[in-house]
Amino acid sequence: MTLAEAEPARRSEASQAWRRFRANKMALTGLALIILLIAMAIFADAFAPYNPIDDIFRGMRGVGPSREHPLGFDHLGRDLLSRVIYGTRVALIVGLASSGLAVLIGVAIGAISGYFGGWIDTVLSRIVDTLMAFPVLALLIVLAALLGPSLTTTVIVIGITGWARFARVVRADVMSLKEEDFVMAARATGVKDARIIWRHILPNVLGPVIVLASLGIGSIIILESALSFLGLGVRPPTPSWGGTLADGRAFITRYPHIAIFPGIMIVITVLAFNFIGDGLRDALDPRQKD
Amino acid sequence: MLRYVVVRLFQGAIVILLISLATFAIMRLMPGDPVYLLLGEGQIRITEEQVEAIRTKWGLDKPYYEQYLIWVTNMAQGNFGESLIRTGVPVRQMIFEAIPVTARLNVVAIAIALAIAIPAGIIAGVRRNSIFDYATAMGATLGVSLPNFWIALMLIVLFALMLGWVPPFGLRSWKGYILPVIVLATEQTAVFARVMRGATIEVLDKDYVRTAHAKGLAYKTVILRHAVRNALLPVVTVIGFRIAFLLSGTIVVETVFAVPGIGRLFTDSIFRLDYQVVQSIVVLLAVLIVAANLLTDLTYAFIDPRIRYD
Repeated sequence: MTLAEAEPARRSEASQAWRRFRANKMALTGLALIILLIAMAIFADAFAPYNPIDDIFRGMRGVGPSREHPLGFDHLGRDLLSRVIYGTRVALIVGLASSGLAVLIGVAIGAISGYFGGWIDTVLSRIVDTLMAFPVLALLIVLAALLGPSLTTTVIVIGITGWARFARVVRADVMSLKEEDFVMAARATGVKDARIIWRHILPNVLGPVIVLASLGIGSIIILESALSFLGLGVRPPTPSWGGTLADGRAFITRYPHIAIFPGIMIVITVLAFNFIGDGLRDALDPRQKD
Repeated sequence: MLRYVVVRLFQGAIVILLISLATFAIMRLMPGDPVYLLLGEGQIRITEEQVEAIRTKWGLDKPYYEQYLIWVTNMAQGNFGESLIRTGVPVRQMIFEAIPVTARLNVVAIAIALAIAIPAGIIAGVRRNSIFDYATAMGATLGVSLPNFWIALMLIVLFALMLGWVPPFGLRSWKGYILPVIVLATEQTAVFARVMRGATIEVLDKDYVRTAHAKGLAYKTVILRHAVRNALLPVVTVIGFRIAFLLSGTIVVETVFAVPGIGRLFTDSIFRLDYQVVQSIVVLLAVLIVAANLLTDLTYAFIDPRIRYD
């Protein structure tokens, strides 16, 4: 708080937030890691020494790490380093796209629910309660089995099951915001509801949504890898961390090294997103600290 | 208070009804026909009459709304139907065989998690910004960032394969419980410790704690009698709230360790298209979660007499 008060008033909110974020070493480390991972996902061809699917080394099944192959080979004789690097793509695509989808649905439903109230709110709130009361992984498993496992399915099912938290936060904020003078004024001058929500209310609830979304990406990445691990996420031979962990589990007594590195990558990625989320929370919403 | 309980029960009933409807719809949309799966998918020659006979027996020939009504009525009476795949075995029996296994694992895991997290959270909160506080915070962040199935695999490699102290899979001896319990407890410990620390810090700022100090009570008395008792409140809520998460964790952990609990029964039944089992488990879970949430709120009212619901 003292830092915020010391800042000149003319500085914009965004630049104040960035100053606070920048002061947080953990958050910056997380950001640097994520930028690195995104680069690795986009330029996987350049980072990976071999093709993760087609380069199968004969007679090298389950061979451990060596100088040319620092992570060793998987149970089919594919280079594990290359598979782990390509796996970054799946993790980041699912993490970011599912969060985006969940935010879109959650903000829309939360805004409608909070702004209009009445029976719409009652119905939507019961749906939110229902989703929150459901063991997410169980729902994901059922939906993934229903739609057939694939990358698109994974993104969609995680997105459509994960929006309830956003809806709840946005609804509460919208309910208090719609009583504010500036909203009343807009309504009195005849501005349409849709425009009031879009121009006057939503910009004010963005902060908590961003914080919640960034803190949620980590757990989405864990969910994705759990799904792939159970054989209900991204399908082999497409390299994904969860899928490689499933291979590692199947061959754990013979080739235990397979299961180590995909897990380390998941932990690093999830930690990085959590650090960014903590940093954003402190930067955007300095009142709310744990 | 009574009014509040009634309203909450009513809301809970609606949630359970919605979940049962959604589950029923989803299961009917699943690809694959359990009748053919049951008859061995084209390996044996089957006549139309046989298929029809099975459909009639399971009521699969009736309209969907009728199937749903029959199922809901039966569920309400505690009759979960028979497994479509393990012919003749009542779903109730399958579930009741699996529940004790899952319950044992999770109860022990939560007990261990609380035994570690509550003292750790209190000490971290009281000695704010000490090394212990930072270590707890780091541990908690790490705890929620570790995928439980990966911890499970690493523990298997280390303690079962390399050291040979415990069996890698199964529950044949008590040693089989050790690894699954550790895995299940890890995330819970992290979450509980975080909440306990936050609550302790908040409570220490309160006027009544300052008053207790001011009237000369021993430091220990103030912390234990005045601060901790109030700080436990949020932890109670979190335990109730975590039940849904706990179950998600159990699914993966039971699969990794080949534990014959509810989670494993659930995934197995999904892959076998055993509608009856999946539906029943999902609805039972919904009931459990709704009940846990209600219980949490009531406990809250009981522990904290300031909370009144009218």
